Amino acid sequence: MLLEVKDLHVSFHTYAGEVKAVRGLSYTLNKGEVLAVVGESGCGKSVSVQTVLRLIPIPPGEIKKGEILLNGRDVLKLSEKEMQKVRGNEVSMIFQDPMTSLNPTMTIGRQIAEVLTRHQGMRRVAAMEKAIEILTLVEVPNARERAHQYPHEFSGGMRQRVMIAMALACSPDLLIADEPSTALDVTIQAQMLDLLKGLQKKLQTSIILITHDLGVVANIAQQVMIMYAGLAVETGDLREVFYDARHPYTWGLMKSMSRLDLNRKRRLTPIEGVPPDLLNPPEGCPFADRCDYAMRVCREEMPELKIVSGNHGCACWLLHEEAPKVSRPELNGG
Amino acid sequence: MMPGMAEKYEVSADGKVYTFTIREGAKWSNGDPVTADDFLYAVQRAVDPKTASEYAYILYDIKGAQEINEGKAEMSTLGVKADGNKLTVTLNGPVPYFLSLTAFGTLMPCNRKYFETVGEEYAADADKLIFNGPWKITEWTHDSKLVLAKNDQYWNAAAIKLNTIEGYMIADTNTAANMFYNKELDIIGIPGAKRQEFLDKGYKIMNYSDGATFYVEINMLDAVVGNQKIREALSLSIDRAAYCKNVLMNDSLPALAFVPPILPGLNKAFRSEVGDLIQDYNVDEAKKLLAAGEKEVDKAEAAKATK
Amino acid sequence: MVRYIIKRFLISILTVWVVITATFFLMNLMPGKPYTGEKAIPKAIQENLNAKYGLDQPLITRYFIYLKNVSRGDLGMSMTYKNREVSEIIRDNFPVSADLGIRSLIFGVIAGLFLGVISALKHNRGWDSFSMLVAIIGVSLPSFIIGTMLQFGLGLKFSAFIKDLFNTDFQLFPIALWESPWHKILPSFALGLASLALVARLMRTSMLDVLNQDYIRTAKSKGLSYRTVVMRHTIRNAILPVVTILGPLSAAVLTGTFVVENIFAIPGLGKHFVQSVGMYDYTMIMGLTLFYASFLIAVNFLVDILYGIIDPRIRLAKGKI
Repeated sequence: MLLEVKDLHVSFHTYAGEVKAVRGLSYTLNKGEVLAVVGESGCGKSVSVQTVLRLIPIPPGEIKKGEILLNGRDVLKLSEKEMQKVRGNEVSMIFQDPMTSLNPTMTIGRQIAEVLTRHQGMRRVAAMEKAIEILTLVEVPNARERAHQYPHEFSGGMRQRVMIAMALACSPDLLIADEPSTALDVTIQAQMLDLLKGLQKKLQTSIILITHDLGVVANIAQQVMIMYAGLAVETGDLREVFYDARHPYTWGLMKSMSRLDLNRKRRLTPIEGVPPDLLNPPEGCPFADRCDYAMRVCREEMPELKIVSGNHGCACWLLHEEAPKVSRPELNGG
Repeated sequence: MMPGMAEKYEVSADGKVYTFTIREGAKWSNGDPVTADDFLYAVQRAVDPKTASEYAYILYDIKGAQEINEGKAEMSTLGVKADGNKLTVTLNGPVPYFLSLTAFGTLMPCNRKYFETVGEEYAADADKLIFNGPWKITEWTHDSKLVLAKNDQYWNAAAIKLNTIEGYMIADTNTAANMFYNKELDIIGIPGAKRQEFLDKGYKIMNYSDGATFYVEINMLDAVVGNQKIREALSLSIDRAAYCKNVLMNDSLPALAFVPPILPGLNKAFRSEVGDLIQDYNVDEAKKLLAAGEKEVDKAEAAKATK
Repeated sequence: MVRYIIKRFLISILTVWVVITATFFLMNLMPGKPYTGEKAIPKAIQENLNAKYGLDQPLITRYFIYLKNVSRGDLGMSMTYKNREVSEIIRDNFPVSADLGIRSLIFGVIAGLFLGVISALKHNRGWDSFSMLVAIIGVSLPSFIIGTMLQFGLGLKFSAFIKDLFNTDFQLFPIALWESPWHKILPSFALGLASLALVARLMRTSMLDVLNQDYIRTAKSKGLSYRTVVMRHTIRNAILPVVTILGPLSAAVLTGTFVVENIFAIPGLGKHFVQSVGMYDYTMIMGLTLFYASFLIAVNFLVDILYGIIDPRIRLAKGKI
C-alpha cells in the first residue's frame, strides 16, 4: 500500500469561525493505481490532497486529526525539513491553472532543473540536460530550445506539460493532479489526459486525480472516490461506482455529466441547491437538503460508510435494511 | 563718518561738489593701487543702462546720473570726474546724506583693468573678485560657506586682529542654534522665539535695530477694505505692542510711523522731531470707524446698483 | 535595441520640448514679473532690466529665442544671481544633491527592502508591526521634524555623550554642513527615511501578493527550501513594483530636496527649485525644469532596461517594441 489516509480532519480558521473543510476522510491507494477524487468545488477534495504534501497554509489551516501514511510513514509527523524531501521527490503535484503556476521570471528549463538539483544533487548543467530529456518525454517540441524560454512564451497546454515534466522529474511514487485539465481548452484537455494516462502506464506512477468532471474519470482511473462537504460519500472500483452507484449524490453527478457516446437529446440535469456551509456543517447527511430521497434520519444522523460489495462503499441511509427500497434512476436516458 | 579709502574730502560751500583725495598707498588685494578712476568706473557701470543695475537710482542725486540711466544722456555728462588721486563728484543739489551713501555697496570702487579680465562673471566666485578692504574672500562655496582672510594689502592691515573668519550660510535657525550649543559656531543670529532660551542658558544677546518697518499691504481696489475708514479701523485694531512682545519677541518697537526711529531728521532722529504719526491700538475708535466705513460702502454699492 | 534606443531618444526630446513649452507659458502666466518685488524701482531701471534680459520682447519671440538658446545648450544667466549662469549653478549644486540623494537612496532602498521582506514573511507578527511602525513614521513624520530630532538627539546629545565617554573632540554625528563623510550620515538618514517607508510598504504588499501566487505553491510543492522559495522565487518577482518607482523616486531625491538641504545647510540644488519661483527667476525656473525633466527621462530609461533584465515578459531586446 502506497498511501493510507485515516480519519483526516482539516479546518481553516477564518474571521467568521472555523471552516471544517475535511471532516473525517479515509482512503487508500495502491502502488501504480490511479484514484479519481470527484466532487463539486469546495467539497474539500483539493484540501484533502494538499494535506498529503502539507501544502495548506498553517495558519489559517489546521490539521485537527488523522494520519496520512505514505509508504508506512505518517507525513503529518515529519519535520518541515523531512517534508521538503518528500515534496517533488516522493510525491509531487500539478495544479489547476498552468497559466499562473509557473514562475514568470525563470526559464522553464531552470524550473525543472531546480527539482533535480534539489533532490538528486545534480549539477546545474546535468540537471538542465535531464530537464530537456523530460520535456521531450512530455512531448514538448523543440525541447532544447524551449527549455531556455520563459513561461509567457508557452501556451496553456504547453505550460501544463511543463508542470507535468516538473512533477515527474524525480520519478515520484505518487503524482497528485489537482484538476490538471480544467483550465484548458476542451481539445487540449483530452490531450492532457491522454498524456497523463500514457505516462502513468510507462512510469507506473500512482496518481490521485482530482476532478469535478466524472467524464474524465472513466478514461483513466481504477479507483473512484466521490466527496461531498468534506466527506467521502461513495468509494470503490471504477466499474462498481459507475455501473452500480448507490449514493443519490453520485446519481446526481452522473445526470449532470456530458457524454459524447449517448443520445444527444438527453438533457443534462444539474443538482439543485448548494452544498452546506462548512462553518456549521449539519448533524446529519450533508446532502440531505438537496436529496430527493431524504428521510428524517438523514437530517439527524450522518450515515456510516457501508461496504456494498468488494471495495465498494457508500455512506447513505438508503442502504440501511429498514430504509425503503429505492431503485437507481435511469441515468443513461436510453 | 570715518574716511577709509579717502584720505580726506572737501565739500563745496553750496554742498553740491565733493572732492575726495584717495589715500596714498591704498591697494587692491592683487597689488594694483586703488585710484580715483576705480570709483569713477564703479559709478559709470552702475548708471549705464546696459548694466541694468537695480540700485542705479541710489546714484540719481549725482549730476547726469538719472538721464544717463534713462538713456537720455551720454556717459560723458556724468558729474563724476577722476584725476589721479582726486575724485570729484557733482550733485544736482545739496544732499546731506551723500557721505553716508558712499558707504553703500553700489558706490564701492571697481578695478577697471581687473573687471575687464573677468567680464560679466565679476564677483561670481571667490577667484573672480579682488578686494581693497580689510578682508578678502579666500573660499566661497555657494549657498554654504565663506572664508574671509586678512587682506595684507589693506592700507590699515595692522589694525586687523583676526586672521580668518569662517562663515556658514545656515538657513534653518534651529540648526544654527544646535551648532552654536555644540560650540561649532561663535556667533549666530537668533529668531525672537529663541531669545528667552538663550538668555536662560546665560548667553549674551546683542540687539540692534535694522531699520526695517513691517506693514500690512491692503488691496486698495477692493470696495470694502479699500475704504479709508475701514482701513483706519483695521490699523486701530492691531495691538502692536502685544504683537512685538508676544509674537516677534525680538525687542521690536511698535511702528507708529513709517519711518524707523534710527533715521536722522534735521537735527536729531526724525521720529523724535515729529513724534508718532499713526494712532495706536484703540478698539472703541476702531468699531466706530468700521461702522461708519460700512455705511459708506453700503451707500456706494446702492449708488452703483441704481445706475 | 539600437533602434529602440534611438526611438526612445527622439521621444525624450519631444517630451522635453513639451515640458519646456508648458513651463514657459505657465511661468509667464504667473501673476508678477521678474524685478517687480515689494520695492518699487524707477520705471527706467525696470526698462533697463527688461531690455537686458529680453523681457521687453513679445512672449512668443522670447519663447523662440529661449528654444534656440536651449538647443545650443545655453540656459542663460540667472536673473537672481546675475553673474552666474544657470548651467553653472546646476553644475555646482547638483553633485552635492546627487551625493546626498544616492546615499539616502541606497540606505532607503536596502533597508526598505529588508523591512518589507521581513514584515511580509513574518506577516501579522512582531517584526511586521515593527517594520510597519518604522514605515509609518517615515511616511508621516515630515523630514524637517526628523531632521531636527536627529540633530538634537544624535548630533548634539549623543555626540556629546560619546565625546565625554572617550574624552575626545571627535564629533560623531556633525549637526549640519556638508564636509566630511561623517557630515553625510544624518542628512542621508533623514532623507532616506521617506524612501525607506515607501519601499518597505510597497515591498511588503508586493511580497504578500507574490507569496499568494500559484507559482510559489508550485515552488513549495517541488520541495525547495524556504530560503530558496523566498530568495529565488518570491523576492525577484516581488521587487518589480519597487523597481518601477525607482525612476521617479531617484529623480526626486537626487535632484535635491529643499527641506533636508535647508535643515542641514547643504549647498544642494533643492533650494533653487523653491527660490527661483518666488524670485521670478525665469531662466532658473526653466533651466531647473528642463534639467529635472531630462534627468527623470534618463532615469526612467535606465529603470526600463533594469526592468527588462528582471522581468523577461517585457524584455526590450528582440526588436519587439
